[in-house]
Amino acid sequence: MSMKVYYLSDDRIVQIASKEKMQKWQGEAPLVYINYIRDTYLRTYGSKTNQNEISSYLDAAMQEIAIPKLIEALNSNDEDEVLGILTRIEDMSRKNPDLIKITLSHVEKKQSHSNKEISSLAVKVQKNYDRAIKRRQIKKKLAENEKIGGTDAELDQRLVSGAITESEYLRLKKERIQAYQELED
Amino acid sequence: MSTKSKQIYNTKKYHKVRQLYEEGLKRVAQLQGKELELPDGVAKIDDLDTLDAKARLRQVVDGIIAQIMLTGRPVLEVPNRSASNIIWDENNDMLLMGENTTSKSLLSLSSALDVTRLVRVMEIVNDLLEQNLHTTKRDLFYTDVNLFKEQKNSDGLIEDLATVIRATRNSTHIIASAMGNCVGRLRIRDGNDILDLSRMGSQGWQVNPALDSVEILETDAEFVLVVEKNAAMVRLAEARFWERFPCIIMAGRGQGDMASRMFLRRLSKMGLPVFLLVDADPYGSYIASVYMRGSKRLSYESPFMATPDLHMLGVLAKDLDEYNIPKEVRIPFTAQDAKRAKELLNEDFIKANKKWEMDLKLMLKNKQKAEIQAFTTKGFKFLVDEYLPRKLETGDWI
Repeated sequence: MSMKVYYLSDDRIVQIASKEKMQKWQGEAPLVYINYIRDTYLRTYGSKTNQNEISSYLDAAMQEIAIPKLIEALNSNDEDEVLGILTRIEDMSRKNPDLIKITLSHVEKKQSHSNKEISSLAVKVQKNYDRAIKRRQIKKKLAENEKIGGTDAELDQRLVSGAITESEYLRLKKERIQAYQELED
Repeated sequence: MSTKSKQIYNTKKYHKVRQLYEEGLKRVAQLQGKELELPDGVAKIDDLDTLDAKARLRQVVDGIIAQIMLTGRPVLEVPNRSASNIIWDENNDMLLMGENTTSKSLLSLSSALDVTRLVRVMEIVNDLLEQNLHTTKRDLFYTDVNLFKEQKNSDGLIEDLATVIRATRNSTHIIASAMGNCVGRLRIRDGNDILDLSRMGSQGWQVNPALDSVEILETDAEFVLVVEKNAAMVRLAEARFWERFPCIIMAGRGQGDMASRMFLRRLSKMGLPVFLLVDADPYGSYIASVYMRGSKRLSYESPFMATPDLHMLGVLAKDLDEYNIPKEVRIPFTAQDAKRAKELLNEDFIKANKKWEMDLKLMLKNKQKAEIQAFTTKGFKFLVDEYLPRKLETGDWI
């Protein structure tokens, strides 16, 4: 069956592409699709029970189809196919790095590929991913900093009012400046 | 996006639509894995991927070469696409092409030009398949204007070639220009892009004629509404009709191009009921017949384009009085209208559908027709707020 049908608790009927359908898709298409449904629609699907049931189906599709297909394409002997899939993975590594995490160990092997286009794309993917993870860590640290000190103006105000010590102010301010610089890079 | 908060649709109130949908889903489940069973004596056509289409094309060419080697008098058997070779398959309720063929000798003066042009089309199609590219009929004509002379010549040959290799025209990678639009509660993948058709503006997604690159991903629609006119599409899109009624709206602009009809068939194969909104005239009924059973010209593709379970929601001849359509917006029948109505009444599939037959007879008796826009006399929102909801609630369709 090309579509999987779910009767939802809110009286709606939803149809999503089935595993059989995904099996016919190329390369990264199942992975992109599964994440699209998860990110955009899953939370709108009726009750928690409905959502859990659909989520389990998507998990199974991810394990049985999406990941093997992606790895199969990456390990293909056809350089054009590898180039095509790497180009799309490189694109994803900029837009949605979490999606490509599962492919990294396979991408890494391509960094020493004799085809320069393939090897440079593989290096780029790793760099994009590392940069994205680093940026996420910086943002997290910045958020923690702002939780303590508030906005820049609020931080200044806290120093003036004596709510924080000069050394505390300096530490928080320095962390912020470093974070802003790193995020700009 | 399918937000629950915006939905006012009540499946109890519109239980007739829900019932159709559930029946459709059951039918889909029963047909799972089963191929459409065609009767004996009709040409079997396949929708092929690039590799298979190439193989089929080469098979035909190899056949010609073998004939040259063996007999020295090669003949190409081209399926006959004329009306005499079109069969109405009552079981599947669609028009199909029979198995009669016309022999075209490669050595005959009378068919030399035709065959030369056909072989040229084969060569172009082979190039397209080799490079996995698509082109339009217009583009193909311009690849060799001196040989084809007029586009109608190359157009006909494209269809001949499709039938020779027993494949849909899309399998040859020659596509028609995009005409149909689609909007509503449907998510698709077109090439590498995922598109949410509920967020595509008032004109929606233009149905991509290269349907092999389109995949249906997700829907929470309960029916499909096909409208003949773009004006009706604009009205429905402005009202964001799909947020009030879980549906997918498609504007076919007349009888619908090949891609729109193929895409509609895909939607109906998901069990979704399909309703049609056309003008209350014989041409509206003709459009319905083309969507349901396929056109005679493209009968060989009917298994891939026909939507037999389509229902004519309106505008029905009886609606003109029932909804008090003012006399001044009713249009008198022309001789052409009367002729078309009588021709339709002679069709077996109309005779087999009493409601439809009665509606056409009423039209003939009243000698009046009206366009969908006639409802505008009752206010711009009448179509969306009154007519369609009442039709869907009461199940008043053919």
